[in-house]
This record gives sequence, C-alpha cells and structure tokens, in this order.
Amino acid sequence: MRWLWVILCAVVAAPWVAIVARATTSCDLSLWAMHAVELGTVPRSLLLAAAAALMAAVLGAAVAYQVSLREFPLRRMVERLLVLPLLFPPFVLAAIYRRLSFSWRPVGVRLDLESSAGFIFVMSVALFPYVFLLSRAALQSHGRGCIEVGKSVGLPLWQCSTRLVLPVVAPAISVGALLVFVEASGEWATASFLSMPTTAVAIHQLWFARDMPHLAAQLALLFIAAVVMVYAPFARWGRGRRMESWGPPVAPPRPEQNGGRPAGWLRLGLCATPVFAGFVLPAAYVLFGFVQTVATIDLSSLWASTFASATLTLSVSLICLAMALAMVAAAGRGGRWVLRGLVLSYTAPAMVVAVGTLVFVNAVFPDAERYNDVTSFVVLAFAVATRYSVFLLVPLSIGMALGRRGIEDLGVAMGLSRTQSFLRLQLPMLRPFAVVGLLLVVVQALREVPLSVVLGPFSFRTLAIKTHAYIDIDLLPESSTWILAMALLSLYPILTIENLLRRSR
Amino acid sequence: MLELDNVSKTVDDQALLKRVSARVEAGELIGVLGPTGSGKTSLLRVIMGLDNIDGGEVRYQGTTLAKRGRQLVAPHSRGFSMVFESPQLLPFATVTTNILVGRRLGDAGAKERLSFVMDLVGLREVRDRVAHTLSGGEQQRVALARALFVEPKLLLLDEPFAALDRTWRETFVPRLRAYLEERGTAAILVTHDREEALAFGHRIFLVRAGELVRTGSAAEIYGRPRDEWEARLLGECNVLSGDVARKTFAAHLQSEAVMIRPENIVLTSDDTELGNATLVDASFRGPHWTVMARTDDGVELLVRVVGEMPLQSGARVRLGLRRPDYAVELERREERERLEEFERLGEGEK
Repeated sequence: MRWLWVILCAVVAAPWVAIVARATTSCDLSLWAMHAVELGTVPRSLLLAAAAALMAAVLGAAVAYQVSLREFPLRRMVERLLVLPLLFPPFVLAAIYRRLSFSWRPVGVRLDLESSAGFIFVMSVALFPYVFLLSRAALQSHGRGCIEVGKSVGLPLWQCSTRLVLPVVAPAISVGALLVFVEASGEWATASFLSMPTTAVAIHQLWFARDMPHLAAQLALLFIAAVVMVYAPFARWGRGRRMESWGPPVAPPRPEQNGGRPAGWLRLGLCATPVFAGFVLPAAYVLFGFVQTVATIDLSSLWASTFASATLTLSVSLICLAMALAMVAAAGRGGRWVLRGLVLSYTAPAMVVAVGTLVFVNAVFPDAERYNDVTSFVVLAFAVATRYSVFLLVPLSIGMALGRRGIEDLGVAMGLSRTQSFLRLQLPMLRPFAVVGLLLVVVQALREVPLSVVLGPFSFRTLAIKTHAYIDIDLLPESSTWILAMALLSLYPILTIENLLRRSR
Repeated sequence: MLELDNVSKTVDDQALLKRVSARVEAGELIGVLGPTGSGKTSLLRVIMGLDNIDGGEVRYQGTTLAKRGRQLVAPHSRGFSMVFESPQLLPFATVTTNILVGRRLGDAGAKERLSFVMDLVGLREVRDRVAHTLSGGEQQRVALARALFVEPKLLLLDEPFAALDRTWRETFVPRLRAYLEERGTAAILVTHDREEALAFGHRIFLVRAGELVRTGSAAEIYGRPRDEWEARLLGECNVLSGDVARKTFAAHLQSEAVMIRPENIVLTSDDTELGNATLVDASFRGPHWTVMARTDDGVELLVRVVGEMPLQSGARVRLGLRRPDYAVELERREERERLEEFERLGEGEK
C-alpha cells in the first residue's frame, strides 16, 4: 500500500508545485500596480465569506437548537426539510433569486441581488445546512444534558443556553461555519452571476481572459496565504476540542414544549423560513420552469449530461475510496501531512486547484495531441477527488482516532490477527463515517462547476455544467430540467446523510 | 417539607412511577435503594422538575411545585441542586469555571465557599486543570462541588459516587453527611450500593417497579425486612422457606419463610435451633470470613465469622442463632401486594 500512499501524496502536491512554479517564474511585482483591483479582491472575498459564514452559523445553530431541544408543530417534518437547501448549488439559487428580484421590482419591492448583501444571502441560505447538521448532532447528544445541569444548579433557560449549551456545541458550529467560509470564499459561479469581484473570479479573468497566468498564480498564492491565516487560529483553538473529549451522550433527546402555542408557531416560523428560502421557493420556481419547457426538452442531451455526471461522480468516489484505503492502511506514515495538504486543497478556491492542475498537465503533456478526452477526464476526476476527498478522509481519520487503541487491544484479546481485527472490529466502526463522507463527496461532485469548466473534456457536459451554461446566457427556465435532474440525483445522498447524522446521537 | 403525593409518571406506556407518596423533612438525609430500572432516577428528576408528572403533586414547604403535566415552580427557581450519574462538565473549561457555572463569585463569602467546597471534595490540587483531562472520579467530584457550591435547600444525588474509588468514597460519604447535617440541608441519594445508602441515609426508601414499597430507618429496614426481596436488597441473608423453617423453629410459625442474616448465626457447641452442619466453603473477606455450611437437612446457610477461622472445609459444626428474635418471619410478597391493592381499592370506594 505504500506505493498508493506515495501516489496520493504526489497527486495532492502536484497542483501546488505547479502554482508555486508558475508564480515564481515571473517575479515582476510592479505589474500589480496596474492590477490593484484584483489585489483588493482578497480582503473583499474574505470579508464576504466571513459574513456568509457568520450568517449561516447563526441561522444553522438557531434552527438546530429549536428542532433538537424545543417542541413545535410539524417539528419532525421541518427537521428533515432543513437539509434540502443542499439540493440546489448556490449559483442556481443566485440565478433564481436574481430573476425573482427582477420580477418583484414592478410591485415596488427593491431587491438588489447583485450586491454584497445578495451574495451573503445566497451563500448563507444555500450552505447553512452544514452548520445545521453538525450542530444538531452535537445538540442531540449533549444539549439536553447541558440544560438539565443548568436547571439543576439554578440557572434559567437562557443562561443554560449561553453558559452551557453554547460552549459545548461551539466546536460543531465553528466547523460548520468554517465549511461555509471555505465554500463561500472560493465560490466562482455564484460570484460571477452576481457580478461580485471575488478572488476566484479575478483569478479566472487574469488567467483566461487576460492571459496573465503568473499573476493569477501569484494572486492564488496570496489568497491561500490569507485563508490559511484565518484558518490557523481556528485550528489551534480547535485542537483537542473533538467529539470524543465531550464524553458520552447522557440522555436521548426529548424536545420540550414551553412557551405555549404562540411560541410553538413562532418556532415553526423561524425554522420554516430558511426551508422556504432555500428549498420551497427555488423548487417551485424550477418546477414552474420545467412545466413551461417540458415540450422542448432534448432527451438525448439530458441523458448524456446525466451519464456524464454519474460517470464523474462514480470515478471521483472510487478515487476517494482508494485514497481512504491508502490512508487507513498507511496510517501514521505522514498521514497527518497528507491530510493537511488535502485540507489546503479544499480551502483553496476550486479555480486555484483548476489552474494549478492545468499548469501541471501542460508541463506533463507539452504535446497537445496526447492530451485527449480520456486524459482530460482522468485529470478532471483526480482534481475533483483531490479537492473534495477531505469530506471522506477527515471523518474517517476522526473515526480511526476514536477508540483505536481500545479496538486494537480488543482484537488482541480476542486472538484476532491485525487484518481480522481491522475487518471485524474497526471497519464496522468506520462505516458510518465512511458512508457520510462518501455521500458528501457524491453531492459535491454532482454540483461541481469550476474544475469541470477548466479541466473537463470539450464535449463532457455534466448536469451542473449544462445548468451553468444555460444560466450564463440567461436561460433559467430552460435549465430547469437539468437542475431538477441534479436535485433528484442529490436527493438520496442528502437524505441519507441527514438520517445518519440524526441517528448518530 | 418536601412532599410527594401520589406522584405518577409514565413514558411510552411504561409506568416509571406509580402513585408514589413520601415526605422528606428539613435536614433529613434519604437513601433510595432499588434495582436497575426501578424508577429511582425518575423520582429525582420529577422532584428537580426536569420531567413532568402525569398524576399527583410535588410540594415543598406547602408550595405546590408540580401538578399533572405542569411545573408550577420552574426547576431553576426551586433552590434545589442535582448531581447526575454522568458529570456533564464543560469539557474545555477549568475545574473552577465548571464549579462556578451555577453561581458566580459575586456574592459575599463566595470565595470562601468555593475554597471550602474544593477542599471538601478534594479538588484544590486540580482547580486549574481543564475538565476533560481529569479522571472519571475527579470529574464526578467537580460535579458534586458544582452542586454544593450553590448552597441548595435540597440536594439530589443520582449515583454520584459510582465513579469514585472505594477508599475515597468511604471517607467522603461521612464528610458529606456531616457537612449536610451541619448546614441542615436535606438530601436524597439514589444508589444501588446498599452500604452507601445505609451509611448515608437517616431513612431509606426502597423502590421497586416504580413503587415506593418501604420507608424506614436503615437499622429497621435492614433488621426487619418484610419479604425476601427487601431482605436480599439490603444485604446477604439466609432464607429458610416452607417446611424447613417450620421444622427448624416452631410449629406455630405463621410465615412460610424466615430470614436470618449471616452475622446472626454462630458456630457453637450447644444444642441449637439450626442443628448440625458440614462446612462447605470459607472465604476471607477482610474484616470477616463468610462460611457456607450445609445442614443435615440439606439447607445451605451463610455464616459470618469475625476473627480467626480455625475450621477447614468438611469440618462438622453446630449452628445457632445469636438471639432467637434474629430469625425474622417474612411475608409472602404476593399476598401482601394483594392485601395492599385491596386496601387501596377500599380507600378509593370511600
């Protein structure tokens, strides 16, 4: 397995080596004087991402608190619906809301989606389920216990929440918020639709529109450095604040009814609003568009896109599984560094990984004829897998850390060999982590756009690419069928993730 | 002071508490004993107000705290505190921060109280350590300190000593008892450790299948159990049933069973009620030996022997009672339950 591990390290490192090489080939920094606008996108992107993360954290944690610890009408149904905004990629929501904002102007409602506020709104509505899922899992495990402890020492409910519940679920909220931050900071499609000059957009323009790859590479490195500076203090704060140090859950969640009927309806309103904004309204719009355009659907094109999406997703999943296998088998041999490399790949905007991979591929295949569709697809699949494998590998590494020594000792005590111990004891324990991680990879691969746009074969058009292409030329109703297909393919993984994380309490 | 009046609690059609009525006086220490799943924790939770009750009332100093489905006084306003079986600490906060969760250091004498409580539970050395780095026993002591620091009027303890080592527990329980008595704080200790309950409680509550089946002083309940279940719950015992009991003791024996504690049987050379026996086994338990002897009637009896144990397995001995009244006649539980049910129905009709 060691060779697999070496390949994995090489795959992770390749785009970064390429970017650093490209950025340092031309060190004429004076050029930046003429591109101060692009330079200014770095703090702007970080601020936008931070605001989106903050809003998603507030929204996600608030609804998680309500559905986990409070009773209200239709709670169980709303709890399941709260993950459904993940069905629509942020750029689809952006397009729908932009269209709706135009439609609402005549009735006097002024909604300017093409603004910082619009970007923050779209990103937080689309991505708050990350915070919701993680904080709900933490609240269901420990929230009620915290409240009972608070009550038992004489604290009113609000103080129980601020003094006990919040500190205990803060790591889960923070991890969710960090995911939103990373996704929002590197979001390219949404930013370009909403005409937001973010770094991802600037890198794309510098590289492809203005043919300044070294400037794009330098900007990418600067942005990564800025993201790492944001991430590093969080990582230091989060060290040791893992689920295993929280102790076991003490009581099954039993939401409480208090505040009477008006409070219950208020809670329902609070929890239903993000469902409405992130799922019901977009779904209604998409269905409406589908009905309008159903007669003109090109079924062969739809089938080809679905096949392309499925092929890419399957390939990415297999590569991620191979990576996971390599990580589990070679645990301890520099695994932490590879994992950090993968986290870095994820924290970088997809556009950065795309251009890094492109530089590497150009160096390896200087002869354009050898870089055919198959090679292009393989490169794309590896790039997508490298970027999103963290969703599988990080939960797996947490699963491996949980009681690893105890399991090994148990295996020895039961007279099992190392392989038997892994297959019979460790693997069943890792399975839920692996399933959740793999399904997240599937969801991400299905909605992936920037890497496919830059690296994909010319004729290879996934559902996400096709949707993006339609929306890009303002054919939102025509894209409905593709959006619907993408949502349907994502539905099962998303519901399974929700179910697994709900039961994992 | 604290009154439970026919308190019932049901979850998913399973009755956790069945018409429990009890009274806890000011400053009284209660030990609650019962097997796993008998409703001990549920009892504490309804007193604390963490769970609603389905019937009856919980009153404190004449004020109704809870009625069917309603908390009339919020849990945090009752002035009680509770220690849970699991310590439930803030994992990334220090010991001191965890203790101060319930009440900050603002009020007069709080610093002294914090210092005193830390000394009481032996946490001074680890006061600045982060909670999740502590051992299970230390974490449980932090939870105890947290509950004591708020100076509750009633302290509810749900198996709080389970994670503590025996040596520490043996010295701590009397210290805690003395502290509570000195302050006049009432406390209810739920445990499945009979020695702990007997050592702690002025009175003992026995709980079985959601019912409070017996209350009384530790000595009374230990010495005079009403049936075999109570006898075995409170300690090792010999139960001679049916014909054996009748033949061994007296023809006029009313009950079909008799209970004798092992420490009330002696090895003797006199003619005795229990007669001749053969020593089957003798195991050393530290303060005493526990001997298993088989009488000529084939009945196996446990005998506690303090001091030297000169006899070996197979030796012939005579067994006697320390005092004739140490053989306690037991009621048949089924009959008693039928009678109690009959009485309850009669009260209902009235």
